[in-house]
Amino acid sequence: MPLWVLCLFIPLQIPTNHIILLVVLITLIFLVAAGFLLLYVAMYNKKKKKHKEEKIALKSVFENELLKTRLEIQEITLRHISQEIHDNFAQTLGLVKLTMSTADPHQPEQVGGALLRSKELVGQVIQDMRQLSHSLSPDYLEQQGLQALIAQQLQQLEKTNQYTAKLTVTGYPEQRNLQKEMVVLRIVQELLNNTVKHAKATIISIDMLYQQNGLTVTVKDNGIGFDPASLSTAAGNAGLGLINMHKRMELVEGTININSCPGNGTTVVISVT
Amino acid sequence: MLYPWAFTFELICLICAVVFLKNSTKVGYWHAFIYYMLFIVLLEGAGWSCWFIFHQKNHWLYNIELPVTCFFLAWVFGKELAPFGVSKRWGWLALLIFTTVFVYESLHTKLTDYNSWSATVRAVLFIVASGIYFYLFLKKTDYVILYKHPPFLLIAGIFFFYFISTGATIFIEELSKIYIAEGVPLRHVLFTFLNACLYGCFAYSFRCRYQQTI
Repeated sequence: MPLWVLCLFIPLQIPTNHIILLVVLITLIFLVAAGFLLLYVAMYNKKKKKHKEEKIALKSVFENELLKTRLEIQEITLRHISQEIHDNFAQTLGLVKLTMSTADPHQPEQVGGALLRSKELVGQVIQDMRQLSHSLSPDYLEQQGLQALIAQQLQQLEKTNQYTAKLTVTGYPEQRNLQKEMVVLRIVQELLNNTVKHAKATIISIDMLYQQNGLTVTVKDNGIGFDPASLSTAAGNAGLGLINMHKRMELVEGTININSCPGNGTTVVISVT
Repeated sequence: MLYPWAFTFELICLICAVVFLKNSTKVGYWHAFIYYMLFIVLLEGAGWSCWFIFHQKNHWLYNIELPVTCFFLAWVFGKELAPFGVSKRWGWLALLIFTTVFVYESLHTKLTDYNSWSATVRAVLFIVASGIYFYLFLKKTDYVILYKHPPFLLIAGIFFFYFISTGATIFIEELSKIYIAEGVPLRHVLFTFLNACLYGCFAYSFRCRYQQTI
């Protein structure tokens, strides 16, 4: 049997003062160790407090950002409505007024023609207003689905006879998140608006791909394209729209990739989980 | 004759338990602390009278305290470790180990001497349980104000008492002999300090618990 094992069973003849010293020493060492352990727990807990405070601060920043983005979206929507009223409804109704005022009441045939023309124009205004209302309403998105609203946007473009628009949908949504769908719809609307305004495109295609891990929407045109890097360094509002799109996608934990170069059209890929 | 400081601390702790926990819910261990502290005070009083007034050995009394404290504090640990997902089976295993050692030692000494091995095993089990609690407490992401968190104060007191008393527990026989032979009350001094820490933590945790429930 090893010597140290024997020592456990044989009472050691340690002098009294040594025992006292030993007990005092052991107690002091254990006291310091226990103190350190409790101190460590307390310090670590303090770190957790700091971490929690940082999380709250981050959340507050995020909420501020969310609010700002919501206000921006609201502003964009209002601008869109104002533009529609000015460019479309006011123009068409102005035309109705002009048609009615130029008709001579003493010539029934001319009045009849003017009324018919006015009826057509008013009908067109009603239809456009309905479409605008649908494109803005979240309830309509819930009822019709993202796919139907995007198809509607493309149909509207095709009606102008200036564009060939195509929508391809692969898969179907297993779980719907209206907030995310609304953000995607608004971005697609803004992209189409940009295409109409700046791209000088003739073909626009949208591919919607529903997968298990989310939705990917690819918006493609054959327009003049642009250099994304030049927009990010441009002064004023030139690149602001794209930055806002990025921000909005970040808020719904999504991504947006813009691929474009002058003369080669633009492809934008939006992904949300 | 040494002044019974431990008895004084226990009495103060009992008063705190009665004042702060009398209206606490009957479910859980907090209300039971009143009865536990009452038991401890009565036992300490009896032990002190036995030794200093009647000059009789009081080991058998303190041997009764061993399983009572062990089972009661095991209940406390069981309740506090359960939210962290620690199975109750570990608690029952610890109690089985203690009971085996206690029964074996009691049969061996016939309760005429203090069951120091059982006390050591109990101390080790409480230190391990406290260590597990601290570890799981650190792993938890939630933040709590430590000095106002009753279970933490309670377990910190238990850990402090049993961990620091390791030296005194190992040499308990020798320290008793030294006191009888040379009159050096080292054990008394150490345990007075440790009792002050333990019952101080208990009393303060009762107060914090009371503040949480009013």
